[in-house]
Amino acid sequence: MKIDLKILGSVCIFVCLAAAVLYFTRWMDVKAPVANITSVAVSDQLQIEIVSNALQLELKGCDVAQVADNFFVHIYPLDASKAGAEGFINKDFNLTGLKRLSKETRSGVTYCRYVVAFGSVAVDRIELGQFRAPEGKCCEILWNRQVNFNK
Amino acid sequence: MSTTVADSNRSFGLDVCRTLACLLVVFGHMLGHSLPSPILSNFAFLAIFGVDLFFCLSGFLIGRILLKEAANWNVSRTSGLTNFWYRRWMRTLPLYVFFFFVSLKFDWQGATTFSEQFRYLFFAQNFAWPMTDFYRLSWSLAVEEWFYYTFPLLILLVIGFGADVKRAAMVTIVVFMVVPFLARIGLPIESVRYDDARYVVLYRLDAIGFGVLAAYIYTWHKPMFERIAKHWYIPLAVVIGIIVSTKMGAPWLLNGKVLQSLFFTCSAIFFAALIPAFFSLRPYRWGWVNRFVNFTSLVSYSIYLGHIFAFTMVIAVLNRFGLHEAVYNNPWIVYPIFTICVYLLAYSTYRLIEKPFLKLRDIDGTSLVKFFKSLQRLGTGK
Repeated sequence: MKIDLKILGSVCIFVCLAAAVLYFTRWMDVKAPVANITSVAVSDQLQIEIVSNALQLELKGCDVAQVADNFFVHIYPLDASKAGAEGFINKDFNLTGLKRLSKETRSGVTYCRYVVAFGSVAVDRIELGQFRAPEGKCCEILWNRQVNFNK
Repeated sequence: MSTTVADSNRSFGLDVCRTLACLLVVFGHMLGHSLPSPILSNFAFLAIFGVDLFFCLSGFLIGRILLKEAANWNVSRTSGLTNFWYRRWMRTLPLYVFFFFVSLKFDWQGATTFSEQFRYLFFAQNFAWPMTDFYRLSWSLAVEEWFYYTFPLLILLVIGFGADVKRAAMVTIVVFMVVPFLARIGLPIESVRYDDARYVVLYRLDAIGFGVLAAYIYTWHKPMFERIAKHWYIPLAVVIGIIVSTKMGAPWLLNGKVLQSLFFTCSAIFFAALIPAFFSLRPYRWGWVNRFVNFTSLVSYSIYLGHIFAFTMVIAVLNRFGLHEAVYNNPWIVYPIFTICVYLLAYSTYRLIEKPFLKLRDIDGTSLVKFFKSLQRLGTGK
């Protein structure tokens, strides 16, 4: 078999190109959020800070398997025309799908931080919680909390 | 979705397959975006199998083109590959990008911004991680685009190591069967999250890979292809079994990642095994059925990407004129309206976006010069 180095070189370039695109699109920084609104202690491991344009999640121990259930975030914009057909902007997420913003150790315990940005819309209120879909049937709500931004 | 052949080469049977897949997706989503009766709502899940069928069909069509073109890649090298990509991207990207920008303002989930969603332009929204609900339909396009990018690249790599196209294709097909299977086992898929895995590129590449396997058999083992077509009832029976067991929650109940991963693989194998049977179909006696199949197949990519926007548009108009209660809650009125609007929007985007770009990709350098010269003559009034 005759090896064609030109072909192999070209393939390497295309592979590097794809890897670079994935790297930069997946791991770009999220803008720093502002004014703190409130916080929710989901469990001993997970604390959620709600700020004016994002959720900040801090996971004690960094074991995302401990928080396997999906989160739902329904964002109700001040300008209702920016909401979806259901009347809100849906930002469902799972911790396993989020990129980690930072990792730090305090008093010998590791903490991982994640951010879920609301986007550029001015927010009236949000509804936040966790749900699961047993046997694919949506949805069993585990907990939920409504936060009003205009108080 | 992104399945195309030149009009003269259109296969009626594959058009039937494409139409069936397309209608499964549209009607599944129509039920999911309305208030159907409890009996009808039981069929909404069929949309996912429409996409599975699309993947296999796409793999078969692209596989046939690819296996033919790759025969010259040991001479043309990278230029053969880039030409293949160019033709694929001119087919799929214009409409994808158009609906991406439409989604920024009119997505079912609400408006968002370019800076938040720009990764969708690079199909990086769900490569090896779950995606958000923005432009949700794009998940399958991402699977297809990554397939178009990586599959021929791997074929070229194996050709670079001195293999002929037949061997390179087989090696690549095997890699595309094994890697997603192992990824589904190795990467976290908890039983309650089975459904998330369905929408991740890395986990789904084998669905198209099995379609290419059908193209491989068609190209180099035609008697076997014909035998599979002859025994169409076997894959059909298994596919029905897979659909029924999914309805009963089987994939979610399976214990262990290996079994769950195997469920995906079996689903892809038996959907791909239906392709020979579809391929052998001939036009019906009723002309209107043939015309409907041909037309739906022709605009299927536009239907796929545009149907949710058609629903959103209908609902917005109903709200604006205070007809929401009267129309949206009545399935006998809302479903025909949805269907008509889906077809109208699809035809418009096909004529205004898809077709011009398809024409453009077929213009070679000489024709382009002639085109500009004719424009110049028009400008000077000759």
